[in-house]
Amino acid sequence: MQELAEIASDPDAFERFYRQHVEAVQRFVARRVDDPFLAADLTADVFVAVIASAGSYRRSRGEPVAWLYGIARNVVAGERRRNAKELRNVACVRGRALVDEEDLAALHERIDSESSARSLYRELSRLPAGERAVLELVALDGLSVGEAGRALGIGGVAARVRLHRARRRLRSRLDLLDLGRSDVPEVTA
Amino acid sequence: MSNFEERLLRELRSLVEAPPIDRGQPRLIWPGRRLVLAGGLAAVLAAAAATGVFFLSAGTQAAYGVTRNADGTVTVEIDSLSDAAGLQATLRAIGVNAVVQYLPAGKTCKQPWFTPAGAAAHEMHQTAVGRTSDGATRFTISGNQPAGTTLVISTQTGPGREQALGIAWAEGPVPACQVVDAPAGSGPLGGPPADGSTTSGQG
Repeated sequence: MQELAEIASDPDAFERFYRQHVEAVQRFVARRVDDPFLAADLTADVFVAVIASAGSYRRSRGEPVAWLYGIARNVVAGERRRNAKELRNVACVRGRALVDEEDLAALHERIDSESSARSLYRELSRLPAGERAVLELVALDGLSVGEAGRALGIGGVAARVRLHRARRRLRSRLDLLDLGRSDVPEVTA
Repeated sequence: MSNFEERLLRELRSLVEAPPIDRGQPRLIWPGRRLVLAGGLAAVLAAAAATGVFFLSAGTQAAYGVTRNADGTVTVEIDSLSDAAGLQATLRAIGVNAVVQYLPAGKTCKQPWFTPAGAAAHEMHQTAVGRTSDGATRFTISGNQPAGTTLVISTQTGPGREQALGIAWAEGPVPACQVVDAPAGSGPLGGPPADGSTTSGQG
């Protein structure tokens, strides 16, 4: 497994990580926002936060993808870590400034393909924050319950309890949801 | 990858290639840290020699950060009025000729302390002196400092004995500060109070 700490200081290590995950990050963002320019900004913010946080990564906090999704969720939820925010302020990496017409079409396409996920995302906003976080990562992003728990810094048992409660609450609202699987569920809204 | 992805990768690579040189003491975990601006008083203290001024409360902890950015500019962040020598040494170590002078409240350096540099030196500023969301103060300067100039960062005393921080550019050597009592209403860096607007930091 790639040593994540290296990506904060080794440009080549960062590039490998970026190429491996940039599509997943963009899809993660597209499942949550429908503005292509905001999506570009958030994609940039996620990777800036990754650079700022990589030095503190520990394997005990989960596999890299779970760690990455945890960061991405914080960024999109406006809860980015302070050091990442500071670094971004200094770096002034603005994703939307890097978008041309061709990119815009691709961003729209990606956003359109995730419209059902965004419907679910909006529906999840009615849930308590802790329960929502677990269900979001499992149902929208395909993490296992364990991975979601590690991404959120909670134990597997706590994650399962929250997921159970979230499903129970949501089931009364969305009978169409099938969230019984704990890994990569198919979700329709 | 798409054009956007390639461009973003280039930007991010440059960010990785230019990590912070020195972050001073850890400053991101202090819930009790306070750097409080004193509202409109900043305008009173604005003076021609200063390019930025802001107020800080007493009793803060030592911390600063100096970052060499990817584009060659240098960002200075001051969390408290402590460890002036450390900040000065850090700036000099990365090629910024600087003098940092923190004084107790009510004190200033005897005037005239140094010769203000011409307007060209003020173009060194890439951003105004500002305040971060968590209360620190920050400014960014060009990495190409004119020969013979010195960046001067110094505390001052406001009309109500508030502490302020002034940023200025000096021409030629900056003599040692002779600490004297600050007259009430002295401007940044000991100059007279000005009636103009100031740059930033208040709010």
